[in-house]
Amino acid sequence: MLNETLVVIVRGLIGFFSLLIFARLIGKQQVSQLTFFDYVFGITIGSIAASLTTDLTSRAWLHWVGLITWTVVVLLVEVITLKSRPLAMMVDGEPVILIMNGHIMEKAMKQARFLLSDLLGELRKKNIFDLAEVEFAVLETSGQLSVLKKSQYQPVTPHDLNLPTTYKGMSTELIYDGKIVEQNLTDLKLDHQWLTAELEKQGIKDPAEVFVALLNTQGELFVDRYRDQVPQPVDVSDYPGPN
Amino acid sequence: MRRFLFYLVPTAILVLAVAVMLSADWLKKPRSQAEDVGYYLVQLDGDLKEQSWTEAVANLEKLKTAWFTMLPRLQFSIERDEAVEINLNLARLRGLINGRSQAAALAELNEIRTRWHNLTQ
Repeated sequence: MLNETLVVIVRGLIGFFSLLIFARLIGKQQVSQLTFFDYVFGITIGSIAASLTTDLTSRAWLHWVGLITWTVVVLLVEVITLKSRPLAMMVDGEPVILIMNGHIMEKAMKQARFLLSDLLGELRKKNIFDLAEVEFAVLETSGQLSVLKKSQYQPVTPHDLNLPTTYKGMSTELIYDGKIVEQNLTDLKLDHQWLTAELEKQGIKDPAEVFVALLNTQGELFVDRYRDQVPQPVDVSDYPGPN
Repeated sequence: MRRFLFYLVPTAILVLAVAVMLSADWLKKPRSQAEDVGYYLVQLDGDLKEQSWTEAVANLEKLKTAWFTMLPRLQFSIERDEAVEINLNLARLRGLINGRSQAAALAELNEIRTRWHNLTQ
């Protein structure tokens, strides 16, 4: 007999892994960086994968062909837009300047169908509550607003004060979830002996006690243990029951 | 090796997925006469044309056995509604044979044959 539950499970697995592989193939932009086209693509292939799983009235193969067709076309469009700037502008659109030299560009606002309340709201999200502080505001193709404040409203940097600074790069994970990240240790030309000595300095005998250990570019080791030594943890919940 | 696996695993998953989705064509081929749907369709057609009702009932039962043996392995790559329709066709055919209705039974049998043929199209 027809086992619909089993069919949905198998088709669900096919849909899930196909979607996972195709999404990885397309790239790994963050949701916040998606253009309108990327967004539509995401919804479409998600919808096709959902139909592939539960719409048993049509063969899984047809949905899968639809899925791969969209993926291939999007990949092609991505490759073409990489090579052709005019086509990239057609597909992804262009950033729009909404505030130029402190003046609101009403015509550009109208073209982008961006309301003044939207603009003020987006500025508030960036902690700008006074329009007079803004020199430039650009509506990116992802729909996000990039803002350049007038120079008198920008925070002072060490460069402004002619202060010398040391290099500060990315920290490297040496222990992750209680396990030593061997590759990072080797890349930094360090060994277990060094790590053990550093941990002992902080009273840790076993790397398994450590949740995460990060080495910054100044050579300082930041360690967070599983057993946090907080004298009186702050409870942010106002609910008396279990959290 | 890790890079090789990075490409091999997704490729293997996709190949397996395609194989499951397109397996009906291959799985439709009978492994024994007991599951040879095509064979019993021909037998039943002969029985109905000769109005051999007893043989027709026997061959219909064998056809049903063959179909229900095939169904679990075909179910991942065919349309659910087509499978349900064949089940209903078989039930109707049984009634038509019991009622000795030759023309209607032949029509029903032809519909089953077409559905069976189109199952993997």
